[in-house]
Amino acid sequence: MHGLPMAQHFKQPEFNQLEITLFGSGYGESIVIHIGNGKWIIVDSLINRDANQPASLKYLEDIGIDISLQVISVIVTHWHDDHIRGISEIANKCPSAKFFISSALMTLQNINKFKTLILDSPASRLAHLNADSTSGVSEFRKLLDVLREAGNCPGFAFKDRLLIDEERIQVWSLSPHDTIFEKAVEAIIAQIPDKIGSVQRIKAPRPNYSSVVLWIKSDNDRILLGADLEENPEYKGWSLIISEKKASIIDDKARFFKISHHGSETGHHDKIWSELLYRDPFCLVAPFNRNPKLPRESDIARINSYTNNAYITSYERDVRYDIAMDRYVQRRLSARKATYVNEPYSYVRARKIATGNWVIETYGKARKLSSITR
Amino acid sequence: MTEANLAIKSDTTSELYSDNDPQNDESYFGGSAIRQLINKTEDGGRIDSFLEDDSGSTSSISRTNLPILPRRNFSEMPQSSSHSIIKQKWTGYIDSINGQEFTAILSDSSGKEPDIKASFCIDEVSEGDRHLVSENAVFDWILSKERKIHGQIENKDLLVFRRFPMWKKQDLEKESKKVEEFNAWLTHGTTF
Repeated sequence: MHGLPMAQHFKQPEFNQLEITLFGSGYGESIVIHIGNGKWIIVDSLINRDANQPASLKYLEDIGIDISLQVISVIVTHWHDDHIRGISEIANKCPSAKFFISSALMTLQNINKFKTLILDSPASRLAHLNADSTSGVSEFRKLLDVLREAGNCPGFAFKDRLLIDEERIQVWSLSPHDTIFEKAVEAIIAQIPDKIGSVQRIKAPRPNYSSVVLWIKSDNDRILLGADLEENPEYKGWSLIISEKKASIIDDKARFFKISHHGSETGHHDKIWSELLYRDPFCLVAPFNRNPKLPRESDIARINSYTNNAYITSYERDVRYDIAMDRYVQRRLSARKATYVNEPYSYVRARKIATGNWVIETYGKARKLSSITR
Repeated sequence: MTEANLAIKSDTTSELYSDNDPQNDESYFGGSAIRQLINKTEDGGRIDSFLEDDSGSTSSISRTNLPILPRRNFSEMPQSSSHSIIKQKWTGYIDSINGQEFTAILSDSSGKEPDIKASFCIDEVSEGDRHLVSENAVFDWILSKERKIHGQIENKDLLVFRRFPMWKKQDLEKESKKVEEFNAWLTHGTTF
């Protein structure tokens, strides 16, 4: 642990104190937001490898939150495995929460395509076969099962929709844009294999243009949570948000930014920094410890050129798997050069204090991005 | 020659099986256990009738707290079967292929251990599965211990690629029903 003694980390925010905490373990990210009055929002989910439960729930329980009552909303920015693992457990344990999911997968026009993807026999059977193979599709299916069982119909996030409207806070979705709905579903359906051959994990289509970007308005603060939205010449993600922004929603610049898509070049857009953010904003980024590993050195340099206040939840690489167990198993793991995919439970926590400033605290492997040296 | 003598002569294992051992399987006769018991006796331990022969008479060695081994009639024992115990199993998928090697992301099937990334050689995959090796192909990695008929222990390292199954009529009916249920729920309960 860095920065604070353990007791301080387990302290709840003040009743009306805004808090944003980003969890990231090298594979996966999740955010919890205290919007005041003891109410919390969870965005996405990852599994805390040490506690074997969603990192967000572990944290909220550690600081004494009654998750069954105080989590009022859960937003699933997209279905990819690194943003959705454990989301069905959150649905089970947070019955008071209203769920929102990206409308890119579920629109009235696309409902039949959606069913083909997630409900029809081949895909459903595939999801079942993939249930223990880290496929986000199967976890998404589990989420829908839990919500249906509970009679808790999800809401849908799309461009310029007000998702949450509370006393001191509004949460808007700035994406996905309706022009990409068709492509988003088709890109996934295209991966469903024939009924012969090997079982294939459904991978995340690239670029990610169907992710839900969130814009939070709280008193004098504006907060931009970039999810995994990407951009390339053919598929517009950030360009559409910026070129079609409404002054009634984006009425100021933000001082706080959860950097998009693990800090990658494809998640970057110059105009995010010039048109949506104040100079030198507080930035949080979660790494991606698979192929390709993100952020790259060039990404870190670019982000540091925009702000001196960027923090990363962890930045470990290829830590050898060394859990004591059966000697034969350990020998085989060593022979296979086995490394951890996920890093230890780590987070960056930002709380706004009475002076209007943000206080940043780090836990586990989290650190300031500028501290990473080669 | 008594059964005990036969067992000792045929022993190749190095492990002691007892009734208190949760991994004990009664179909195996622990030859080495007998040897260890005798060694202990020679060291001064007391063993009494831990083995019986077919006539029911006991050996002259004294009883002690050492494990009691089940009586076995060798003629009834299977001669070709073996028994596997899975030590650990992961399920995962191929993340990338580089020449004759591939890298996979794997989840422990018990859900108790963290995910790992590991490297494999394609020639370790059985020939029948090799055509299934491709990016995102799902497979199981199984480490097991096989106990053979005479007690030998063999460690095994196995890669099994999953094949897409044939559809059964019941599966299709079950899924069709689910589709209808979901459709009704999404159509009438969803707020867009």
